[in-house]
Amino acid sequence: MHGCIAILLIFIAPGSMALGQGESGIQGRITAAGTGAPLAGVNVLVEGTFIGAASDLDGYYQIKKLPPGRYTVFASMIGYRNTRVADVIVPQGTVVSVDLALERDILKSPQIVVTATRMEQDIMESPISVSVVGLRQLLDKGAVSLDEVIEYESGVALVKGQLNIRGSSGYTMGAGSRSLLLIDGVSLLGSAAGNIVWTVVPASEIERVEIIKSAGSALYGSSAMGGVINIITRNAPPRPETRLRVRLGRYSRPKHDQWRWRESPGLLHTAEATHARPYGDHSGWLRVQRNYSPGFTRLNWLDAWNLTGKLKFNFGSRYSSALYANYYSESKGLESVWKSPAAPFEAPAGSEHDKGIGQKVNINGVVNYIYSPTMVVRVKAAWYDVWWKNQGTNKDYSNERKYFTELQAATNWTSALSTTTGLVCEQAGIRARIFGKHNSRTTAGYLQARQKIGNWLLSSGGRYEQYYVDGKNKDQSFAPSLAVNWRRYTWLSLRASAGGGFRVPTVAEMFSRSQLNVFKVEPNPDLASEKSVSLEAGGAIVLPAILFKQLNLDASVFVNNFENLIEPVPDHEGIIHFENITRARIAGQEVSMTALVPGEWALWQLTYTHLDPVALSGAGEVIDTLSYRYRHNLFNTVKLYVRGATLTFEYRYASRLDKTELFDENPRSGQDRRVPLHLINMSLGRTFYGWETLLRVENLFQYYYVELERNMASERLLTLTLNRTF
Amino acid sequence: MVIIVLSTCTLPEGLGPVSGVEGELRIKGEWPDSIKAAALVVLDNLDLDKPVEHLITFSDPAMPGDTARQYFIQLQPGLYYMVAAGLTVAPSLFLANIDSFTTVPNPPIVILDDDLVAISTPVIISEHEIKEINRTIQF
Repeated sequence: MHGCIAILLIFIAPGSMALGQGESGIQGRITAAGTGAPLAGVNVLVEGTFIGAASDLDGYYQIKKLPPGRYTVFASMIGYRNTRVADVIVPQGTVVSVDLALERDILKSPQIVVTATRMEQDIMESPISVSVVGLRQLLDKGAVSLDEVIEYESGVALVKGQLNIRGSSGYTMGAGSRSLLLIDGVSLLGSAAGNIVWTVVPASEIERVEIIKSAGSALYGSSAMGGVINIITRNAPPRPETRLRVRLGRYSRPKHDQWRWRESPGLLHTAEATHARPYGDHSGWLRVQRNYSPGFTRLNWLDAWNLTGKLKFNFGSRYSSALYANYYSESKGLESVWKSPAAPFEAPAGSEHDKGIGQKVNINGVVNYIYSPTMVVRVKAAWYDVWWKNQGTNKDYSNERKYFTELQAATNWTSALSTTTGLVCEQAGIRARIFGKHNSRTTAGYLQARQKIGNWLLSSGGRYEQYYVDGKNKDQSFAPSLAVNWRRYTWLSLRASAGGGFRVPTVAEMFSRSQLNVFKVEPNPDLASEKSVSLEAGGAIVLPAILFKQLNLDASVFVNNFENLIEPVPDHEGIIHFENITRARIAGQEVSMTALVPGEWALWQLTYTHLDPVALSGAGEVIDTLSYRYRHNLFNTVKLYVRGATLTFEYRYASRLDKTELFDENPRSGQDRRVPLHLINMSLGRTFYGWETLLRVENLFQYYYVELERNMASERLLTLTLNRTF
Repeated sequence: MVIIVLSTCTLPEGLGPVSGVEGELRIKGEWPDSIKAAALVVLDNLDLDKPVEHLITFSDPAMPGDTARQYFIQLQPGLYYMVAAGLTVAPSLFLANIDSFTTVPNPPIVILDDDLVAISTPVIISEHEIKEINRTIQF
């Protein structure tokens, strides 16, 4: 059998009556191809229904209460290839056995995505561009915060921690994001500023992170106009486990003597412990993390605690639910700008002790009710509470609370047609010194349909949303989407999509009143919503055994047109308001490649994104470049597997920022010079006595650059990470 | 292989140490209403009739009410003149781009420095040299 095709050991026969007299169903055992070892925790789904099961410790699974019919059984697990068994006939009152042997996925990357259409699908059948980051990739980088990993994904760039998917956000002073961050499908953005706090995310407890690189407003509403990152947290495994992870690190002293600013070495440490276990049909995990970093600049330090847990309940074959809770407490330095280019790691005089303290609580839950084999109803609810206070030269405080509820119904009308529809209500209140006291409410309804016709998959839908601020109807928007995927062969798929997007202005953009350095920011409550139209076309190829053992290619071209883009703009008196600028367009191309050499001793990953981000006049003429967008982004990773060790070499290039907002380059004096970004990282990983050990150096050659004016972006960091599961 | 690749590559230079002047701009007396900010202005030629034509850069401005402002001005090696000046508009508009300051028809700048010796003494900056200069404005 060809190497890339799953080896299936299918045994279909009338089964025993183990599921009960008169019940129809499917049962079987799942093993690893080649070794025959049982696989626990494999997700098995009957395609066209919402009925499924997970394999137990011995690899056995049971799917109960299945109406008689002809089905396709679909099995998936990270680290193994997706496997389908078609034409499984289940007669009335009979249980048939379907055993599967899953072939190892040598790239160990997740193969299933859910965010692109709100329905589970093979990544090769996604009608829009998706990147997926698995837990393995995160552990291979020794990352403790999600941003340490996703900034190496194609199309993703961070500007001082602010997320940009294909250049959507630029840098908005933390006042709003055009990319949505979800955890298990629920927004993690604050409603006031809409900014992202990466350290809140329990990065080591993810199953996967899905990055949608096209307008997602038709499904996810405001802030998703530039894309969506959905963090899928993991469920507890079938057997109890305890995991310990420790990261120790040291920031290097600046390589230029003139820049040295502290006598003691910058030692950082992160320690985390997770315990996970099943309780009968239920399961749960709890993680505690302490994260301390002295930072590489005087005000870059962080001291944080993070307590996270997840419970998964299974009540019979119809009901299941999950509850996720996170408490995060931090104390950190408040960076604004450096002291001077002669002392770029120090803080301006008088602000050396500026700090912020804060707490965040996030609880979200979902109840799934399988109404019938072809219909599932979900109820989601979330509570998000954020409190922070700044001390020092920039005294400030904020208290924000957000509630979210969603009712969703997913239906498979036929084996080829399915829909997902839902109603959403989100309510938020904020009290802050620089915003005042405000509240907002969003109500929305959405419908997404998916139709399979042969090798074609059509996806279309839309979302209507109404937005209220301080009790007044501020805006309403409708975002449609239409997308198609043509999987011509198992190894080739082509895709095209068009989608509308919108983003309502945040409370921060409408009501901020502050003084930042010499810049005065004043409110603009009349801001209108941003609108966008996104077009994309692309294709994905998985080629086995041609020069490489496996070669994955993905390419896409895209153009995003924006109306009423909100940007900070100084007026004729130099006072900054957030304004709707007329029009903007971000066009670009993206390619990515993953290649594994024969013998599996080397893996090569290469991604490149080109952006052309421009502001347009009303007549459509290019009048300016959009600020804080890298035109060229390239990531190159080479992994060598030698004698049980993994040696990784990473190179990241980003072209010099064409434009910034606050301090432009002065060629006469050399002030505020901007340079391209050249980062080289190396790591060496090996397992000793059950401990996964990773030695990693980031910014190996101490290359200095700024992402945001007057903020040094990096210093060499050496870390040692130890990870063990008991 | 990686070591070979690394050893044959020449990594481009990133940001590095700079040269310039630093010190304190002291302000004495009452700020006039017409002055919205005060700064040290760096010129490449001492022509006080047309200072904007010779403008290289200026320091982060002191704002009305300030009595002192520490500053650092990055400069490339060369010869310069430094003059304390007042801005008659809010300064943030001009921090973004020095060209936007020099191209306006009537630059909103007034010379506040009356220390002719200090003004006419050139400041010579060498590579990676940072000179300390304190100046005072008397309103």
